Amino acid sequence: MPDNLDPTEETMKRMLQSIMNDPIPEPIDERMEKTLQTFRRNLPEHPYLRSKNRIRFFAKMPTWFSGWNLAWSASLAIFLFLFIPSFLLGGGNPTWADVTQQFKSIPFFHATVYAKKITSKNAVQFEIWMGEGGKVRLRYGSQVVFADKKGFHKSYDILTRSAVKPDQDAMHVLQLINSAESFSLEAVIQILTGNMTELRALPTQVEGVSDDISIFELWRDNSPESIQIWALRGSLLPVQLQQKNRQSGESIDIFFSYLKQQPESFFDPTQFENILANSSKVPTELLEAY
Amino acid sequence: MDAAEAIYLDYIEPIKDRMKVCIYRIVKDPDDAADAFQNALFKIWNYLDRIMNHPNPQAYILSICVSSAHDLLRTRSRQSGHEMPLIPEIAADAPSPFRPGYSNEIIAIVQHAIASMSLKQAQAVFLRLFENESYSVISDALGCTEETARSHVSKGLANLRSILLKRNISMREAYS
Repeated sequence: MPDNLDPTEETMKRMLQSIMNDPIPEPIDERMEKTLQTFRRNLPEHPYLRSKNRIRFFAKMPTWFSGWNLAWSASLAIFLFLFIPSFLLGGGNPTWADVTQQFKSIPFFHATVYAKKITSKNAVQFEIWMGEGGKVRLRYGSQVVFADKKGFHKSYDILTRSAVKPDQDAMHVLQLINSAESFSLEAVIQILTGNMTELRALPTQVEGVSDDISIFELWRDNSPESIQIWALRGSLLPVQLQQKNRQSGESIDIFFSYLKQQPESFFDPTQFENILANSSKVPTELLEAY
Repeated sequence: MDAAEAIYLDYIEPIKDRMKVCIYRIVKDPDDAADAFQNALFKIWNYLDRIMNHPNPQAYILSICVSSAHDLLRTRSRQSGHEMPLIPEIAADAPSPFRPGYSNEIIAIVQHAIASMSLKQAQAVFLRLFENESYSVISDALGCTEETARSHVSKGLANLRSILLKRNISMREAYS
């Protein structure tokens, strides 16, 4: 039984209720109910209920998954695992669920990633193309790396025009891609931010383009790290992900594009090897994807 | 019945209307309410294991709803500036579309006052005044002692009262 309100509480309660206790308009109630029922339908997919193996997976993360590697890898992972089926669906303004759902429906994408250890340092840049069937092509420096769901296939250096051992960072990315079906977006967020994770849509009105862009922010109380994701309101597709650490100056920017679906041959290492061996193209032309 | 459905029916279904109302009454704006509700569900999803092991799961869920609404209100308040109504397209002295009889300015001031509370204070005040919860339940929800819960309510209300009085809104004026 609730204990009785004291006179001060009672006065404030009457005042607040008189101002704030209006009923929810029916359309809003329906929107909320729709969101709640989607949550209910997706609840069986919750990692806590479905698979404790996923949680154990993170407990066994190798040592490379820490510090700098953790930061950019996890940012990238969040971007990659937007493909994972969403578990919430809201109405009205574009929601995080809308964005994940829409991104999931796109069979291909291209992303350019810039990672910096501190603000003044030059950024490391690499590109990723993903195609249907989980095919992946990655360009890291002068290396071009091919992989699919089964794992790494081959990597080449376009300067030496020969097969090479893939760069370690490139392999980290591929490992994340290859394990995409084994853990959820929620679990990836936990890696990055711990249990205090909150993902919320910022109601930010960006001056001049406020009708076009929605911003989602991932943050943790008392943490210098934050992640923001920009999505187009019309297409609901994410166009940028940015992670910042305000203390260390580390930052990762990922830019998404959906300009062209690459043909099968683009993801075929044998064909690329033939081009390397036989083509008269200069190295920069070999990197041209569009 | 599977485990997921049992969890939903045990923990969420009985209080779903309270969850919705709790958020709507704080943020008022329809789109903001929908966003805050989704954010609350996201937190519930994230904290599901904690909720299931919590001494008072439903109070904890309601405190999450207050938290989501409070977060959004704070963001809105920062963006709008403390002296501005939160619904700028409506004249400040116009009757509120949300609560006939109250000007948009009064609602904006109350919202600013709520946003100025700490999260714990807001959670404690709303659980106490709107959900009629006991201090025992509030302390469970906030993970603190009853004494601390009382302190949160007391300080939250004092803060609220102070802001309203500064804006020349007396208790009697507000609800008469």
